[in-house]
Amino acid sequence: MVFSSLTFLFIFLPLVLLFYFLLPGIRAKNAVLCLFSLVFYAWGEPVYVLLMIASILLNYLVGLGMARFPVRKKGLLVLALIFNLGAIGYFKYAGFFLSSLNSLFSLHLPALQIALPIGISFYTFQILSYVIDVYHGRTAAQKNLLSLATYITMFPQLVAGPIVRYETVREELSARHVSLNDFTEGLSRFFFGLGKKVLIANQMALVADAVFDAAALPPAGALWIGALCYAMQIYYDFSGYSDMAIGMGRMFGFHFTENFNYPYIADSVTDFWRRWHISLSAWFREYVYIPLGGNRCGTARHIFNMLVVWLLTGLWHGAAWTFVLWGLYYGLLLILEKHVLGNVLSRIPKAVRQIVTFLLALFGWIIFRSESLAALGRFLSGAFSFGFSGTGAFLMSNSNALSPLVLLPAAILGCLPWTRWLEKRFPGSRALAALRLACAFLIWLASIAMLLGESYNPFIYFRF
Amino acid sequence: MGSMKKQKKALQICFLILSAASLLLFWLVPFLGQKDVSETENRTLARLPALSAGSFLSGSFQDDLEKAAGDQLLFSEEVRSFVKGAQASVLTGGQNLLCRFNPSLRSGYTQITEGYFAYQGDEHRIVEKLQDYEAGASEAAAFAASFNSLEGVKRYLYFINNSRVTDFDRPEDSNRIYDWIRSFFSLDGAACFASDGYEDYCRWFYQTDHHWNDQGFYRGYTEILNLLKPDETPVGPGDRLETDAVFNGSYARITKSLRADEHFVVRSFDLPKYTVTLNGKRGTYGKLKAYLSGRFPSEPLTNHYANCYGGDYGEIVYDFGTEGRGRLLLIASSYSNPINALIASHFDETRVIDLRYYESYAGQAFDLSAYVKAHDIDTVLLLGDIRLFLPGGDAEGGEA
Repeated sequence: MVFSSLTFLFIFLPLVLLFYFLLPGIRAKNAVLCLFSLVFYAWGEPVYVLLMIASILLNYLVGLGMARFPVRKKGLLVLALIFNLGAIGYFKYAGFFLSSLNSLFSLHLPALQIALPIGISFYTFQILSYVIDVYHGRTAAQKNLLSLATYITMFPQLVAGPIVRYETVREELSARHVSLNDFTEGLSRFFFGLGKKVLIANQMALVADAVFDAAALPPAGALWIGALCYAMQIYYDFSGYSDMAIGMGRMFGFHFTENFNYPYIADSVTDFWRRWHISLSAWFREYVYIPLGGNRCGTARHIFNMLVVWLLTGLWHGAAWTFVLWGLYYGLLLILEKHVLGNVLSRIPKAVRQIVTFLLALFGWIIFRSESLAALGRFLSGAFSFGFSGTGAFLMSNSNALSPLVLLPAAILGCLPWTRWLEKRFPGSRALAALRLACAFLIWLASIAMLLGESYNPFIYFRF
Repeated sequence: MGSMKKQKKALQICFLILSAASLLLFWLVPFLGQKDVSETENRTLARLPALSAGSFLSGSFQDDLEKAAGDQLLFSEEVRSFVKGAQASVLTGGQNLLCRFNPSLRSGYTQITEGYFAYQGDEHRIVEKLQDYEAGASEAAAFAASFNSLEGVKRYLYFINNSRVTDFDRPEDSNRIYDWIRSFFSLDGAACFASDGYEDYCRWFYQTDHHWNDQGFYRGYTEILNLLKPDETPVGPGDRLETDAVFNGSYARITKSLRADEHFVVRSFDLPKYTVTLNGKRGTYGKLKAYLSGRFPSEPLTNHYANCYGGDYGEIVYDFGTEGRGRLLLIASSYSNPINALIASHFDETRVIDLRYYESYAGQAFDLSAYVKAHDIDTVLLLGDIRLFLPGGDAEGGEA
């Protein structure tokens, strides 16, 4: 089930809210959240819900075991790592590994056609954060199975993040309160997120798909328009989902960490990754980069650490060579920024740095969106041919690509922090607060209209 | 400070009440009853599915519930119609803007919405485009197999070359799909309703509907008669009357692009007395007389073609009460609706079968061989466009 489905909006969400607020006590509320989350997951993956239940039980027992038998906690950690990483490795990477072996060594190993459990990359990382934190003694083992199950299965962030560390919600799992302000803020945040997804991301996707999936290579102008629209699509798609998750979390009394902070105004690649998918960057920093030695080591080792982290970041996004290349691309850019450019960047005007950073991100999205390395080569050869004639004809013959372009200026405008500026300029303004709620409600109505009128409604981050 | 807090709270409560009311829209459906058919979209609406372990595990329950939610939600039809209309307007505006910069873009096909086009900048007409039908060879062969095995009857094919099978940029190649379809059949005679380029096509078909217009169907009837009974004189050409009804056809309804400025023209004929049986019940087919006397619906999305000439039934039987002129089985799509009676007037009895609806009427799949024997048929005619032969190619919401 996706948040932008009519089933979720008009059937699932009202039901879960009704039961959640009707039943008293934190245990009952957690039970409602856990049960509905399992239904939410089983909706799209009736069988894989068993994998999730097995994962909850195993990691719960591992946590308890670490608390009760400290001398065996290393072995228990290894067991949890094998199970959790083994599951993601099997479902997500086994097919890629075998096909790569086949093509590299001309082998004929049987190809694996395994359906990827939805959100496995997200909930596996959440579970890992719990067992690793318990191992290091940063948090106590959760003795209440229902609380741990609620944390792992919680539907708002189950399938597409943000990756909420156990420590972030540990206290709220046992005691939380929802005020009128919390609920209103949460619901309006959810509506804004839905609007980002339905009104902009889905429309930008139509242009991007028409360009990237075209049988014949479109002219350079269309390729760049497609790349720009994909950059908008992925931002609005993913940040919209995060907004919906954070908003719903707030409606249930949870305060999840922010996942985006206007990434397209970043003035360096380092800054970009402080603003884009913040919870993933934080996870890799905490559980991979720092354990490897972080930057408190020699230059060679630091470069090695960064390459490992970015290789894994690329692979986390997908089992394909394009994702590996995309990860390494960012790894190399960051190494360049930290070890070669140094203070040179700070002497360049900020606006120039922002434009260059956006162009680098745009180039990254071209790698990311390409189906294969061959398709990437084809796209880049076309895009850098700068043959712009034929762009108008391409748009005329692809109505899918033409009409959504009307929204591109709005999409670009929405990437800028003008709402934040307004809030700073008019602090505590009642008119602004009323306008915000009115906009949220209108966006909700427009999103429903669009959902009824459209059938194109995929979520990019469901793949991960 | 206190009043500010109160105002904020009142605002929040107002927002929550409005949101709750809209979130609960779906829950009124069980009380208000489910809708069966969308008049504006001309399709059956999805109904709430029954839950079972099997349907849940296979995912069909989830899919069906999503479709039903979309179809049954209050005001969904009106909202869909509005969104489609707005999208069509935005697209037209965008195309006009592009063409202002580069007028040469007006040539060839311009997409209106997926699968529907304007040709050479003709803003009044909507057409479809030639597709890769040859991929459906096995479906066409399966369709032809039972037909070819018939014995003791004359077998004919009349194929309609509409915009679905024509590339207006390559008029010289316009019979390719007809030739391909014909190659599957063993026939006593075949003909094709052909157009010689886009301008000629415009003479025979409605501006925004896939069907042939009154000139087209009368021409079709004469060609069919020439195929089946070349010695007989056609009825008509009948009286033409242009009504006040503006006809927004199937393409306009699907694309929500009400661009037609075409008035619906009716054509009537003097025929001998006959009886009609519709799905086993005696009745009247179509409302031609009402149209001739100026009585017809005025809603902009009315399907005047079906309303005037008759809708689609699994089985229609025409009995002209004569003897010795033969018994015809006409397997056809809605293209035959306005000329059923004209063709039937040359036979004692004519049975018209629409394969899309036969099974739901008869409760069993259509068995051609058994049907021919049971009704002593001596002539079988296949009449339709490509979708008669490749029904799997029907787009959702499309009409054949």
